[in-house]
Amino acid sequence: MNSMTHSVIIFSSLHDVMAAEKAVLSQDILCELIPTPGELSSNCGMALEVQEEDLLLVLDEISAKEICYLQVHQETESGYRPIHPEEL
Amino acid sequence: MIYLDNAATSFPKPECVPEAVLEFITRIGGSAGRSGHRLSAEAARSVFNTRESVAELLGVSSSRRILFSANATEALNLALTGYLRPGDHVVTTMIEHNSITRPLYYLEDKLGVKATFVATDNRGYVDPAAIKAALTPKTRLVVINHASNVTGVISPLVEIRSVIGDIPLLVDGAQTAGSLPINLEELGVDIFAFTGHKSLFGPQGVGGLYIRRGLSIKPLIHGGTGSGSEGVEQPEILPDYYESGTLNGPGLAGLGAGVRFLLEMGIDEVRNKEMTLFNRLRDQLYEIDGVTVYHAATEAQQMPTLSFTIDGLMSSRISHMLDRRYDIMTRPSLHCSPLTHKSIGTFPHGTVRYAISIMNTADEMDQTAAATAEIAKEAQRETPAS
Repeated sequence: MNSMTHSVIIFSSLHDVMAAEKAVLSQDILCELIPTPGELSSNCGMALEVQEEDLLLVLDEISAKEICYLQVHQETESGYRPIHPEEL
Repeated sequence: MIYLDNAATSFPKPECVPEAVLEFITRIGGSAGRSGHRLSAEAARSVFNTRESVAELLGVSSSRRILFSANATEALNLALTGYLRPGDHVVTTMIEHNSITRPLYYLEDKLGVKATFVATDNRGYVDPAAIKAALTPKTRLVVINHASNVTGVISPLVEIRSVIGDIPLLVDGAQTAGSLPINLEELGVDIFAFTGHKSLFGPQGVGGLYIRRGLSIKPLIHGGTGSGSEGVEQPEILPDYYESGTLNGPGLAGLGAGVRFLLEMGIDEVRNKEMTLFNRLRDQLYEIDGVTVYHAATEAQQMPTLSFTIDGLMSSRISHMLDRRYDIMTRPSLHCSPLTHKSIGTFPHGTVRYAISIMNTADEMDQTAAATAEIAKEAQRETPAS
């Protein structure tokens, strides 16, 4: 997933990360577990990275499974930019 | 060798279980939730998949409510010490294992918790009306052994749930999880403790607890969870709140394999196979002079476990003879359940227990019955008629 623009979804627990990964993969959407970037959160050691074009679909899917996420960030050349709910 | 000590721990395990343990130790190896590298992620997936499988087996819709522990005893200690407060009253029964009775005695001594132990009949069956009669305005918890580890008698959970109103129900499922169809949400069970190494076929050292939504229970231990690390208090998210310290990754991988084996077979099929074996053995034991068998009144109330005594022989001697002469592994004496033995009239010497699993065979039942008959005959020769 290196050549695309990515979004990173932050969760409060590893259980949510695992549940989200399972939900996303079940829809044949690409995703990757990554160490949570330290500048974003210290809540949970892992985060879910998805292609930006899939973000809405991913958030819909994990919300449908009642999995709570804390934050969403967009990866930019200068670092991470938080994506606010009203942008989604 | 015939292994009939499955109520203590199941053996042998389905082949997929040791394979999963070995796979975790030799290939995965990481610590779930303690880093972001690939092996840590794979360990986390392994734990998550086991949690999902256990939730499916027990009829729990949210797997985060399945909390892992070292065994059922630890899970029960978490439930009892985390929920009960000074002055609370508990209703429980005379077929409880020491994993319930000892924590309750401890809490009585330390917190002034009062427990009423409701009597059972001489098979170990508890009447729901007796549970209802024992309730007081101070009763905050009803604690029920789902099935006796001595006689295999199943407690009437549905009826008990219906007579206790809104009082939370804690069930000790050490003897039933994996061997009896269970749907905790349909049953209205509030807290359920299970062990991984009996009918769930996991290795020793894994167990767990289900806690329904909305019930406030304090954790048994505090420490690192891999989440909310900047805070000084336990993160109040499940399952992290109750799972401090590194989990037993290899054990949970084995438990997951065991549970998936059961899910593929189907618990109804497990139950059918085990009870067919049980009935075959019990019916033959009935025919032996000098043997007394302790079991439920009906098949619907029976797990594939029974106890027996032989006139004139101590249970420890019978078990020893079965092992050394016939290569049959059993458990004698009190089975950590002295109250049960008082209820069925076998205290203090106890009984010998035959505990069956789906890994046993019909031929093993026949061999076991024949061995029991030979020992009983020998006991009759040794014991002059009075």
